[in-house]
Parts: sequence; C-alpha cells; structure tokens
Amino acid sequence: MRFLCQWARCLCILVCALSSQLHAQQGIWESHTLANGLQVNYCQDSTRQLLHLGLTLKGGASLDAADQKGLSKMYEHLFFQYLPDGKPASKAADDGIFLSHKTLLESQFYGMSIPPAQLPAALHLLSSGLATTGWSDSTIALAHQAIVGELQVMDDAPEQQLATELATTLWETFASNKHTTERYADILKLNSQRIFAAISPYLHPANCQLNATGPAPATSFWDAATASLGSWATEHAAAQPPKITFPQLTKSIYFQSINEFAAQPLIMMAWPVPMNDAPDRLTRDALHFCTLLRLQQDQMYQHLIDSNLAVTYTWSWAGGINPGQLLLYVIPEKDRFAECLHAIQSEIAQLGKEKRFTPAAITSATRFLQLQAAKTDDLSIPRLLEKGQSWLLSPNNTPSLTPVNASNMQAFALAYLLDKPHVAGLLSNSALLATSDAAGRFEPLVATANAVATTNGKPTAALQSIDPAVLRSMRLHFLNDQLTVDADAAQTLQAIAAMLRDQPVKRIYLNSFSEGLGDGVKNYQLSVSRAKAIRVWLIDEMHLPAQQIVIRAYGEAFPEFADDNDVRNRRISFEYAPANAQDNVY
Amino acid sequence: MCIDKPKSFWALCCLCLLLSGCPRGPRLPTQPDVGGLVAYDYSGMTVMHQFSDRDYIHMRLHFGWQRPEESSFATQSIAVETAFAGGAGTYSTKAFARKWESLGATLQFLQTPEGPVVLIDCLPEQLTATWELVSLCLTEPLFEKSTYLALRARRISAFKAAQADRSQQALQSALQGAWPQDLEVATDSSAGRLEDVALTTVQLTFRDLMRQRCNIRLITIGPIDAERISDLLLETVDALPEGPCAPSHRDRIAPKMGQAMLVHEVRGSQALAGIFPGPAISSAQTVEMRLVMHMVEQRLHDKLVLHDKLASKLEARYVGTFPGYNLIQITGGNAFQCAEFALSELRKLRTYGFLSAEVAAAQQSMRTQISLGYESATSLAARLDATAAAEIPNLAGNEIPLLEACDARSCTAMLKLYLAGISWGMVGDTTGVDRKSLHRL
Repeated sequence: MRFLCQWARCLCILVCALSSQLHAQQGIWESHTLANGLQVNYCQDSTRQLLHLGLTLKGGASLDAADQKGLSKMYEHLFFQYLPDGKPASKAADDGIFLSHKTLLESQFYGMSIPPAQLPAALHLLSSGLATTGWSDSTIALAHQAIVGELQVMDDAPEQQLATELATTLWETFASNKHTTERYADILKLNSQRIFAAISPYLHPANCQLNATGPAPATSFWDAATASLGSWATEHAAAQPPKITFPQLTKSIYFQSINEFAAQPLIMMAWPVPMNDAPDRLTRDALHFCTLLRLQQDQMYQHLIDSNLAVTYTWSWAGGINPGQLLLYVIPEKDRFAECLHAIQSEIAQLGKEKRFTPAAITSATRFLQLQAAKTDDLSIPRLLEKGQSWLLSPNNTPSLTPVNASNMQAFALAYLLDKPHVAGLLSNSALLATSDAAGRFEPLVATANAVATTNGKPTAALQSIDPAVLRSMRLHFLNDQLTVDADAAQTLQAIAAMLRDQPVKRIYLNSFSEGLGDGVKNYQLSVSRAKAIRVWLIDEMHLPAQQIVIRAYGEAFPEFADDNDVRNRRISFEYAPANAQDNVY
Repeated sequence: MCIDKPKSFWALCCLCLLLSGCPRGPRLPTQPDVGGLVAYDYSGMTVMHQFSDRDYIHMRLHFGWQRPEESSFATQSIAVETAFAGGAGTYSTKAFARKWESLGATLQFLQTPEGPVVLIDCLPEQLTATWELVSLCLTEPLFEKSTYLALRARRISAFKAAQADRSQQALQSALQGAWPQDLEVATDSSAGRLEDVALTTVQLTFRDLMRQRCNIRLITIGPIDAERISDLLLETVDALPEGPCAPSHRDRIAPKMGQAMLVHEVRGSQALAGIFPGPAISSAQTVEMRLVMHMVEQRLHDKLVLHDKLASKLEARYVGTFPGYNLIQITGGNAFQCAEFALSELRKLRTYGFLSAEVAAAQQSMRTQISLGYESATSLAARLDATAAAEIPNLAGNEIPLLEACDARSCTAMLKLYLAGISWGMVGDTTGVDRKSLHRL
C-alpha cells in the first residue's frame, strides 16, 4: 500500500502546464500552385511535433495492363528505393525520415514523417523519386524482394487470406488479384524501361498533389517546396489516368469453406459500393454509404438478432486497393443457418426501398461518422491520405463531409441501393464457435448455402426500364447563355445513367431546345452545345458508351411554354431512340 | 582504513567525485516532460488524464494481471472481455450492443503482455452516456453464457489459426525454449486449458480480482478537464471492491539461453525467432536497449536482406515485458542459414562494437519514432499505459534526453552485457541442422 501511495504521489507530480503535445488548435489548409502546376497544400498545426508530407500521384493499380498486374505496386517500391546519394531508402530513417507508401486503385501515396529540420532533405528525396527515369536490375530485384516479403506476411495470416480470397472471388480480374504471389511472376520479367514507360505518362506535376502538415511556419514550407519541387518538369504532357471502371458482379452469392478450425460458420459477405455511379464523390459518398448500411442495423437486428437467427452481426468497411466493398459478418445461431441466410438476403433486398430511417438511427450514424472523421484527423498520415483522395476524386471542388440528415440519407439509399438489391458474395467460416473436432463439419452448410444461392441468389437484378412517358417528362434546365445545368439535374441524369448502364441495348435521344430570346442562330448553336455537353458528361463521368446517346438540337423551335422567352423553354428532354438513330445537329 | 592525513582525505574525495561523475548508464530524469498530464490516485484507482484539443475522447481502461495461482492469465483475460461484451445491468448482450450502437461510440478489446485493455472512443458530448455503459460493465456485468461460450470458442479458434502461422510458430518455439516452465505468460495460455474454464470461474475472476480498484488504470485523452473524469468516477469507484493487488509478473525469471526448439516444415517460407535477455522493464536502460536493438536490426537487415538476400523480412526489438527480453525475427528461404549469418554478424558486433556514426543515425531515427508516439491520442495513451505498467511513469516524455545520453561505448557495453546466448525457435527444413552451431556466439 505504501508503494502504491508513493507511486500515486509520483504520478501527481506529473501535473504541470499543459498542452505542449496536444493542446493547440489545428490550423487551416492553405493552397499554392507552383509554376510547374504542382498543387501544394499546407496546414500549419502546432499540435504536431513532426512534419508530415503526403504526395498523391494519380494512377494506381488501375493503370496495370492485363499482362502487367502489379506493375504499379512495383513502381511504388522503386520510388523510394534509393536516396539521391546512393544509399538504400531504408537509410532514410537515419536522418529521422519515416517513409510510408501505398498503391491504391486509382492512385499512389508516398508519405513521410520527419523532424521539421529535415524538410529540405525530405523534399529532395521526393523530387529525386519523381525525377528518376530508370533503375538498375539489382534495384528492381530488391523491390521485388520487398514485395515478396509483404506477400509472405499476408500468406501467413489466415484472416488476411480470407478477405483476399473473397475479394478475388468477387472481382475476378481486379487489382486485388495481385496480392497473390503467382501474379507477380510476370513482373519479374519487366525491365526498367518497361516499368518507366508504363508509369511515365502520369509523372507530371498536374497529376500530383503534395499535402503537408506540421509545426513549421507556412512561409518556410512554401519556400522549401518551391525550391525543391518548383523546377520539376517532364517532357511529357500530362496524361489523364484511365477512368476507373468497376467490374459488374456476375454472382450474387458465393459460398465457400476456408477455416478448418471452425465448427460453425461466420458468414462473411461482401457488398460492392457502386462507385462507378459517381467516382468523383467517392470519399464523401462511401462514408454516407457506410452510414446508410449502419442505419440498417436497427432492422437487421430485429430480423436477425431479436429473432434469434444470429448471434452477432457486424458491418465493416474495406477500402484500399480493392474496389469499395462493405463486409458484413454474421454468426448464425446454432441450427438456424439456412434461415439466417434467407433472412439476410431478404433484408438486403429491402434496403433502400422503404423509408425506415428513424431519427434515432440517423443520430447514431451521424455520431459514428463524426467520431471516425475525428479519429482520422488525429493521425497525420491518414489525414494526408484522405486529403489527397479528396483532390483526386474531386479536383476542382474538394468535398467536405456533408452532414447526414434524414432527407439526404434517404436519397443515398435510393441512389445506391435500388439497382443492387442482391447479396454480392458470401463466404463461410472463420474463427468463431470452434471446437477441436471440427473437421468436415462445414460440408452440409456449404451445400445448404449453395442451395439458398440457387433459389434466392439470382444474378444482380437489372433496373426496370423507365416508362417512356416518364422519360419524356424528364427535363434538364440550363442557366442563361451557359452550358451549366441547374441543381436538380444531377438526380435526373443519374437515374437515366443507371438505367442505361443496366440495359445496354437501350438508346436515348437528348432533345435540346433554347428559349426565343436573342439571335436564332446563336440559340441553335447553344442548344447543340448543351446537348453535346450533356452527352460528354454521361460518357466521361457516368462511363456510358457513346452509342447509347443520340443528340438532336432544335434551337428556338417547339417551345414548351407559350411565351417564347420563358426560361423553362431552355431545356433538354429525353425519349427512347431506335437502334438506327443518328445525331441530328448541323 | 583510517584517514588520518589530509592527502588521503582529498584522495578519497577525488575518488568519490570521480565515481559520481561516471554513472554506469543514463539515469531517469526526475522531472516529467509530458505537458499537461494529470495523474492521480482516485480511491485506489489510478487515473491519468491529458487534455487534447481533438474532436473525440479516447479512453483506455487497463486491467493488471493478478496471480496465476488464483486464476490463470487466460481466464483473467477472457473475464474482462466477457464483462464488456456479455451484457450489463438490465441490458442483455444484444440490448447492450444496440445501446452502444446508438451512441455512435466504439469499444475494442485488446490483450497486451501487461494485461487486458479496453479501448473506448466517443464524441465529447456522448461521454456521460458512454461512461454509464462502461460503469455498468464494471459494476453490474451480466456474463451471459452464450456470449461467454462464443468468446471462448473464438479465442480457441484464433489460437489454433495462429498455430498455422509460421512466424508465430517460430516465436512460440523460441518462447518455449526461453521459458520452458512458463509458456502461459507469453502465449496467453493454451487452447486446451481455456476449454476447461467454466463461466462461474470467469465471473468470480472478474468480480473479485480483476475489478479491484488497485488493479484498474484509466487513461483518458480528450477535450475535457480532469474534474470531469473524477465526477464520472464518483459512483463507479464506490461499487468496486477494494483488495490487495499482487502483481505476479515479477516472479518470472530471466530467459533460459542456449535452447533450440525446431519445427520441421518443408513447405513455404521458413521462419526464425531468437530471444536473449534484456534489462528490467522498470529501469531507464530500456531506452538504450531499444537503441541497441534498432542498430542490431539495421546491421542484420543490411547483411541478410540487402547484401546476402537470404531473408525477406527481419525485425529486431526490445520487448518490454516482465522480464524484458530482446527478440530477433527473420523470414526467409532457409531459416538455418539465416541463423548462421545472423550469429556471424552478432559476433562481429560483440567484438568490434558500434560506430559513433551508426549510433548518431539510430538516435535520429528513434527521435522521430518517439515523437510519433506522442502525436495521436491513441499512441500517447498506449505510451502512458506502458510506462505506468513498467512503474516508471516519468519515463514518458523523457525518452529523448535518455536517448541522447547514449553513445557508442555504452551501447556496445550493453550489447555485450546481455548478448551472452540466444534461445532459438525455428520453423523450416530442420534436416541436418546442427543445434550446437546455433549457439556459437
């Protein structure tokens, strides 16, 4: 007891003036664009002892050609492979520079945590990595070795294998596949020239963003960044990385037994986030989507937990290089496996179809989101990663987290879930309810699950066609003398895009009209331009094939409202087009 | 000896001054360096609070180990987890989960070498409601049987799954070699023993042992004042039992050297783990030992990974448990060859010692590493917890001065002092492995 008192006294001595570590306010972001076009953001933050830098580079695993899967990962390991003075990158730590790097689906991220005094050295390291145009065979061999080391660690982790197995099964040709050792066999054959040739079109200041945060004064950071990176230039024009397209799921249910130690299954299910609907809103919308599914727990609980169908039930979000996927883990009650499966499918099929978000559920989801955002902000490198992702996905309008409320939550439910009503994948097993004599006990469950899949798990359902009359009633309106649509247009276009995507045989007309105000020729040209702008948007942003969209321009003709000058005549309407329809513009 | 001459007296004084001016190692500073940390004893419970201007509150509830004679470590660990997952008060497990869900807060269970820990994150405005639930778990846990059985089964299954992990196998073998009599402490018991633990044992363990006030340490970091924490604790602490806490970890002995536990496995990569003693965790020498192991890692990495390309992954570090020890883990194509090359490099180090430039570089690297540990609420809480567990709380914030007191000579001396023999665990093709050669340091 005396010892405890002494110890407590000792602890009490620690009371002193606060907050050298965590007290001061976090600052605000300032943005500069260097002469070469590189965008640099800095947030002076006196709560940090170290400076943190994060370089986001457009292009990631999605750049890999079919026969070069893993190339971007290889480049990631080559980026910091050697320091300017010829030392291995592992020696950067000797200067107090901690490196981190990551290949994502659409980008690469290079992070550094450094003492403020090492800023010039760290920036020099970054600029050297960007300016490197080739590597020796031994350097490539070292990078390969590092990747193999990573893979071995993953191979040794059963849980990791389980998640990879599921992702690989669901997204067969996707980037996650490169997490298998065999896939890297081809990469070994690549030489320096081929690696650089594949990556160099994207190594351009316009394709990068540098974000940093730390206690150094902003002015000194700008000076150092300008000195080190301002002169970086390449011979290439900036090549835009390819649009990210996410493969459609071909199976709605998949079942497999993995873990021989488990006696009863953990149902692990992946649900794809349809990011191809709105890739530029990934960060914000994925969070919303996460929240949305979280809200469903109220309903799920009633059907699975309260009905004693399942013991536990958890959602989680898996990001990284895998396509956006949410994972649902359910442990069924003993002997209620099939019922549980049917209930899950039934529940998921109902998601988004009804307004069933209670105020209490929305409040709890909002809190959860706020907590997650606060925790991410507390970690410097994840914070910079998130900042880079925001730029990448919305270069001109960096999104902020939209507050979740009852109205937009329902909108998200409808936007995301109607066209994906089925379970995406299902994998049994894992680490619960084990006994030592479990071998072979999964076999009947696998059969049961596949039976459920056959009867219940149909391929992803296509969206119903929009009724022709409804389609004809849809309108886009434009701002005066501009190609910009009004605020309500996005929802209309997304609904049409979703329908066209799910029904590739359908074609639509975009009928473009102008009001009667002003010069008739100019109005006609404006109607043509507006129709073309909408088509380009649907192709580029919604990833629709060009042949599905046919445009017709009418200028001032066929006003919808009697007054020629009524702004509502400035519009685009829609209707189904026959298979042989041609553009009608001059 | 009689000091009857001034000359002798001055000689003695000079000797004393000389000795006092040459400390054998860095000493722990007496002044703390973590600004704003409020640490106090609240009716027997240790509380540490750090104000931080972040948008959330992080809480870390640490339960110390009690004597394994009274209840095994595995039982103690699962007792805490079940208390927080198996319902509380009037809430069943499911109702409790839903209640927790409604707060938007997160709760996570963590097992550390120094005891089970419950991590809680919540928004500042949800603190009171969140603490009510935490308090309920401490004072009125329900211990629903189905939840306990599920948790127990999960642990057993995870244990078995870990057995398939070659790195883990190698580590377990090395631990078994180093502490043949005491595997439980390092591995959290065997699956077989956990299967026999009854629910009533778990309940008693939590109620009578784990939740004793002196056995709990609460660390909070967030935008609130310490008074708020005290207010929250007001009712909770009164409901907790007061009793003697007898930490058991000091009974453990130093690792046994010169043991080699081999697991024959010809498929896939091979793994190796080596253990040798380190300084007591409660001493200030731990900082220097970490520095030494950082340099050992660099040397071995340069040799085995970069130069000879024998290993694909290599880690070397000081492990701060009771007693502290040093661990080297290697993954590669041939574990035995890795061991031989590692030993050769270690022999060189023992003979020629570290270079000053090498020490300076390692110090620079560790400075960044230490600073990183103070940046986020989670890492700071973990650091405070670790130093408090080691009973040297004022080490937190003082690592950098201690680090700067190290030099090449003292680092070499430390390595020589502790690197007297290694206990190996190896998973790989053990055909033809010469056990004796594994110990020729």
